[in-house]
Amino acid sequence: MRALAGLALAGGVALVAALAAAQGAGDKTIPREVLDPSAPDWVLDRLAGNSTAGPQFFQGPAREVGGLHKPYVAPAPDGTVYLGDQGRILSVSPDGALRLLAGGGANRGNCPAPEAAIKIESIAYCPADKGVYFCHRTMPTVRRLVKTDGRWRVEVVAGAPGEKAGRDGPAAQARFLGPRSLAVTDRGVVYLLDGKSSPKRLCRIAEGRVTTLANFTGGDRSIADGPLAGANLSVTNMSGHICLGDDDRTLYIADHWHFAVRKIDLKAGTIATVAGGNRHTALFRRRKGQADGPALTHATFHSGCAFVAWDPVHKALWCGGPDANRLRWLKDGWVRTVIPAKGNRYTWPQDAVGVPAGDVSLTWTHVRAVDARGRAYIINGAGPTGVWRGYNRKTDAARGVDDGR
Amino acid sequence: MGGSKGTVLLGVLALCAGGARGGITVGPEVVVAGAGPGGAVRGTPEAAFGKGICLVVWREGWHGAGGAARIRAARVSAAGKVLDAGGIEIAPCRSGVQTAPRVAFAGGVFLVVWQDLRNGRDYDVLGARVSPGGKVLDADPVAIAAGAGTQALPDVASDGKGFLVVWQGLPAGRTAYQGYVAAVTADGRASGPTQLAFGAPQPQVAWNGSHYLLVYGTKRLVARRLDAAGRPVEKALKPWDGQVVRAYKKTVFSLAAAPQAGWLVVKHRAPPDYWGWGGPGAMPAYLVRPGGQVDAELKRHMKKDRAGNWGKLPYWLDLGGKKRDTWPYGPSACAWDGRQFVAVWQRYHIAQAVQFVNGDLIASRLDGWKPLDPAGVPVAASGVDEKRPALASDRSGRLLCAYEKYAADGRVCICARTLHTR
Repeated sequence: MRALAGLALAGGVALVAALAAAQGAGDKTIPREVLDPSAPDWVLDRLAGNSTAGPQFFQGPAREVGGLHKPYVAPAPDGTVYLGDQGRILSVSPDGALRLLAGGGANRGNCPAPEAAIKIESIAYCPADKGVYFCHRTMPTVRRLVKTDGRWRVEVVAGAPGEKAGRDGPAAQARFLGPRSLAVTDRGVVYLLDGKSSPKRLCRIAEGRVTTLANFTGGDRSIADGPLAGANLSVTNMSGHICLGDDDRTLYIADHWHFAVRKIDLKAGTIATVAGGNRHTALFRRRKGQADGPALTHATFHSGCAFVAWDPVHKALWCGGPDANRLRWLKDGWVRTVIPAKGNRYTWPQDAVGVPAGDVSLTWTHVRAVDARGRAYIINGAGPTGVWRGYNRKTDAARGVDDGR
Repeated sequence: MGGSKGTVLLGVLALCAGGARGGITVGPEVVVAGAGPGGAVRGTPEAAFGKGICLVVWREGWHGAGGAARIRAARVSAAGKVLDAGGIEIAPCRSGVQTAPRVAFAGGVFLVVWQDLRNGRDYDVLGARVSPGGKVLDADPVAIAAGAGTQALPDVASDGKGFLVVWQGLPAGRTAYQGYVAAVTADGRASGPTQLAFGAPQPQVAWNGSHYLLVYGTKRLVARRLDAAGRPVEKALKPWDGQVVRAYKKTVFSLAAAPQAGWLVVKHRAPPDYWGWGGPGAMPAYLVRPGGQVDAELKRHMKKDRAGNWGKLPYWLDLGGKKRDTWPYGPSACAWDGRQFVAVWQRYHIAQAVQFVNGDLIASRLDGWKPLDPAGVPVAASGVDEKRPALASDRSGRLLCAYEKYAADGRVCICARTLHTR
């Protein structure tokens, strides 16, 4: 009996070893960098900021201004791009002029835009009211910048300045602990990730009411998919970005310390891992972080997944870690590299337009947002500050639009 | 030559002679501008002493889209009394915005310079003289740099007879900024802009009695001496500041000169980060000797500027709280009080590990680059933000620190306090 058990055990071990070997061989057949077929068609333009302008802010032609940091980006359908940069909101108009719209004041409530005290770590544009929604963890409100009678104003959408709590209810009575990231549908429904030190609460703000959709538990060793009621997140105080998907019922979350992208079906009330999630596996160690491949079996994120942005034209989700040096998207079940960014980091033309994506060098980079034409707004975290815009020449040509400049 | 060496020696002795005597006595807060045409919005104060009074200049009003920010000024007596309640408009204009004012005194007049967006497209550098009696002497601003392209972030200093204005400008058809200088006489005549052979982001300039020192840069600061006409003395100097501000990749700094001695530069280090990779916060102080070199003893300490030595470096002003509950960061100001340098800087309170929540202003005297008040002397430390200090000195131990105060009612005020160091 013992001998039989020993044989069975040996057989089992051999089977596991064989599977592991096959898996290892599979790893080797899929390189860590798999270029997307569209990669050669991507081009980068400097959108705002100038690498020689220095760190003090001033306005003017967007490619000549100084003092931009790493702005959060909210593109509007009319071609205006709104930037949330530290304590201010700016716009880059389609003719390339950058202007300050709000910030620099001391008022945390409803007020004219110049008087607003602003901090931003998430921003989104809403076509319904042409408002720019924003939040920051240290100011427990969701606010928006809107134009009223020709003048910009900042208004509190939900929460109260200086009052921290996790409470549902009418927008003015509801409270937040630390609004971290928001997404806004075309009809003005706001989804918000909220939490004190790490975001634990997913809220919906609609028709003047704040409603909690999920209270996530923590834990970074295992991922709990399924109904939202039992789901977990491992988002630290560093991150936790969300974006809407192809419709109003899909929300993506960069689940940082699970090294995963999670997808929420808002209608069904479920959450599922769609990429990564293999931080504590042998595969992750073999692939050495930031590897491309089939999203759930081979793709990995180096240092976690910190950002997500949905591309409505290419039907793909840009996703990446905080210290990525190439830009990747999740499409058709694969994570692939779209902008390899392998140029010389010291000589690439950082302030030029029409630079082939392969000639640029980006570090600590990610896509902040994508506009309705499929143009990606890119941050280069460890290099010169400002914003770049990546676009696909073939996509633009097929749609009969110019090269995006 | 021997004479100049003697002068230098005297200067160096004078620099060291301030010693630890005295202290800093901070006067009561006065509101220089708390209301006005700018409504609740104003900022970026600067100040200079001349003929026994201090001229404080600032941006009044909103400088963003649809704004009409104008440069205003108010005289403040050495005792800290505001002489021009409501302020003086420097350059009335019907369009655009005026921002980033700087001021210096020479030949019996103040020269105020600023960047002006009156063309609606890009900034020009303009200036106007103000008498010590508070009268604007140039009805039409002096066009220091009004050509095509962006010309921004001017600074001005004086050699006692005239002014030197420096700024960064973008030559037509180029994508890289260059440094520019122009001389402005005390009677208001500006020489044509001279393009320097190098880029000079956010340039600042100060006169020590024999040379101007031009300091510029972003991650690394570079110092170059200029002669009285603004011509570079050295053909090339290596960056003298070996530090790199991590993460934000930006450094703002302040510069002051000691007559016949050297120059002091104060700048911030890294902001707080979750991992502590950038090291602690600090305000390092650097002394450039009259010959254009960094003080030799200081340079030896700078070589030890790496993990393990952080916190032990004697040229670091203010290391912040041991529990990372406070953090020095952002704009600073410095000036020569006649015996020693005085620096004022921002110290933030920290929440959630890395978030700045309330800024205070702290000061210290310096013996050369050595802080004499290691714990720092609070200049403005209320429950609301006090930021962006500007410091002017009459060089007899009386200084005026002007700053932005973010009042609880939502207004931003320009406030000031006297500092006495004797």
